[in-house]
Amino acid sequence: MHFTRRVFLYISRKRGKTISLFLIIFIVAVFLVSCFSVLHASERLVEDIRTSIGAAFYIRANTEVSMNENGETEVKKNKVHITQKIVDEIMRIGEIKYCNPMNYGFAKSDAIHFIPGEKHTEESDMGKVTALRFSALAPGFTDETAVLTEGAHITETDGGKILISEQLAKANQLSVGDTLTLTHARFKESDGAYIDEISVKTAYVQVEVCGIYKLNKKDAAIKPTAGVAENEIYASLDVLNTLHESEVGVYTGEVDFYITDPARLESVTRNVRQMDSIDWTTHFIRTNDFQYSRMADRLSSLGDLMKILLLLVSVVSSAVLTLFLMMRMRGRMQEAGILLSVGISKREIVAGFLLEVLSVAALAWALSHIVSLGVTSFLGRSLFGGLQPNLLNDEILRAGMDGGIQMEQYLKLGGIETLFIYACQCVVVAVSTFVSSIAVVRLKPKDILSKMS
Amino acid sequence: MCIMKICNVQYSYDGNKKVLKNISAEFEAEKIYAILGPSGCGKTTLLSLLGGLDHPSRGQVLFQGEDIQKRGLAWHRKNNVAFIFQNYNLIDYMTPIENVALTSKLPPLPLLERLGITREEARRNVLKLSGGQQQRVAIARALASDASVILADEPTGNLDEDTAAPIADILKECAHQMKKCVIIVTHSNELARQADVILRLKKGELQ
Repeated sequence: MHFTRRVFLYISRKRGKTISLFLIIFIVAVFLVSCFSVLHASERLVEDIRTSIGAAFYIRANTEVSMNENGETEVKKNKVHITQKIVDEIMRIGEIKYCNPMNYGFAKSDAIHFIPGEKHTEESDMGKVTALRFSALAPGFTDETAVLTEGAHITETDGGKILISEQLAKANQLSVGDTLTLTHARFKESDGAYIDEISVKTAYVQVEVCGIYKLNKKDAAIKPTAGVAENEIYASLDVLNTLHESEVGVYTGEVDFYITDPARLESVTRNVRQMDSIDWTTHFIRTNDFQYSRMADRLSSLGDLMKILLLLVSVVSSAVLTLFLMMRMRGRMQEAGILLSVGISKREIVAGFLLEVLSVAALAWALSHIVSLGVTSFLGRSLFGGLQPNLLNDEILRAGMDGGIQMEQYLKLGGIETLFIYACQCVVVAVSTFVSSIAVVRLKPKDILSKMS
Repeated sequence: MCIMKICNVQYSYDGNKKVLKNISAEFEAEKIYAILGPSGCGKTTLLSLLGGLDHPSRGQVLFQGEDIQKRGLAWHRKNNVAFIFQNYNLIDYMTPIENVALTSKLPPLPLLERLGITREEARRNVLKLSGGQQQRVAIARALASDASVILADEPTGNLDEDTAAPIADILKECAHQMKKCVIIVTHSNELARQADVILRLKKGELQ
């Protein structure tokens, strides 16, 4: 009888023992794969966070807000703006990865009816335009109050591109790829009404909707139409230039500078503050250590915990498995003796035991792979539930993609990693089988048979 | 014709206690040998040496003139000898057919039927058979290996007289009709009386 047939007979006839072995290997495998997946996810996430944009500082001109004699609010901006020359000078300090200058303005369009705000009239039917180089780096997207749901972000190579909100797109039946014409507008409050200072339109620009975003927070404040969050249009820098609301290389809005390592934020801003070319009486600097940069430390701790857990599980499970197999082997000493007495070699007997355990293990591993997907997903939701960082890196920014991550992708192990885990378990099972077979290998057949009797 | 021979065989545990002292004997085919002796005199040890379950401290065990250690004890056990044990030593998760098939160079079912095991019994788990039936399965396994020498260690030790008698007949048949050399270690004078040659072992020496 070939030893594979003997193995098959043992597995199929000694069901209780086979199921016990199956359960031990299955539970250990599920635990190991799940812990490894979480460890792998936390390490990958930490790595991605470390290489993504982790902090920013913003420079903008001071705004002076005052009340006129009619009790109306007047916002006066300093006439000193940041020029491309200053931007280039700041960039030369080093460690700054991106710069995102912004200009603000207002626009109207025959193709768009904006979401009505307070005291809405045809004249006040306008939306705020934020023209920028990278829309993914706009504060609304980095603080995750806005999320891109369709299309792509505006990047520095784009021209004549806009992003609109889901509500605005729905209200005007606009979708990604649609083109429309914008004209300039200038918002003003006069005699309690909201008006457009530019009554005669002379500038027009044709734009294409390249993306649609969703606002995560609803703004409950009562605002004029131009101030309604859903009406905000993100546009490429050239849009306001074409509408003569801004100049090339002159930035009236804020200019954002992004760095990778949040730890370097303070030293970089200190160097910027020492620059004489910026009049600090009319400009101010603000820093932002993004929330997700702080997640890295939390994830590192979680990773360390998983490493300890993995080590413990590996050691304990190897010991339990060896002990279980040794007890099993003790119960099979008689069988080994019988097989030896009929001339079957020790090598073939141990090979049979090994094949038996590996066959059961293979089934356990196959099932554990499926079950661990569910367990990992559950663990992922429990451990990473609160973490949904918006990771921005070079590739994402240049491609105009959204930086929001899918935790499932992080938790999924690659083919090589999965094979590695199962190969390690295979080695542990094989070693445990050999260790437990030592009793058979070391004893003489006569001793085994005399022990039996 | 001499098929097995032991020459000046000594066996001791840990080099001290001598269990067998300079034993020499010859065994021929078509004969039944009974080894008798009190407990602890070395009967089972002698059988183990003949069967290649262990090797002697000194001396040689020859099969057809060749030292059994030359081709290896496992080879000797697989090809030259077959064991029948007092406690049957059947593999408990197998049927009689499968137990016989372990060593089978011959088809198991005709052998089992010849030894009085029905087709239905041959497909049951061995633990569901009586002691006598289990010993018949063990004999069938020994015969299936087509070995020239059958070594039986107290083959009727666990059986009552009525069950033991047919087992003794089968062993006789093995020797006289199947032309095997059957060597039996036993306490039973009844079984020994049916042997062609009786060897008495006392304090490690053949009398």
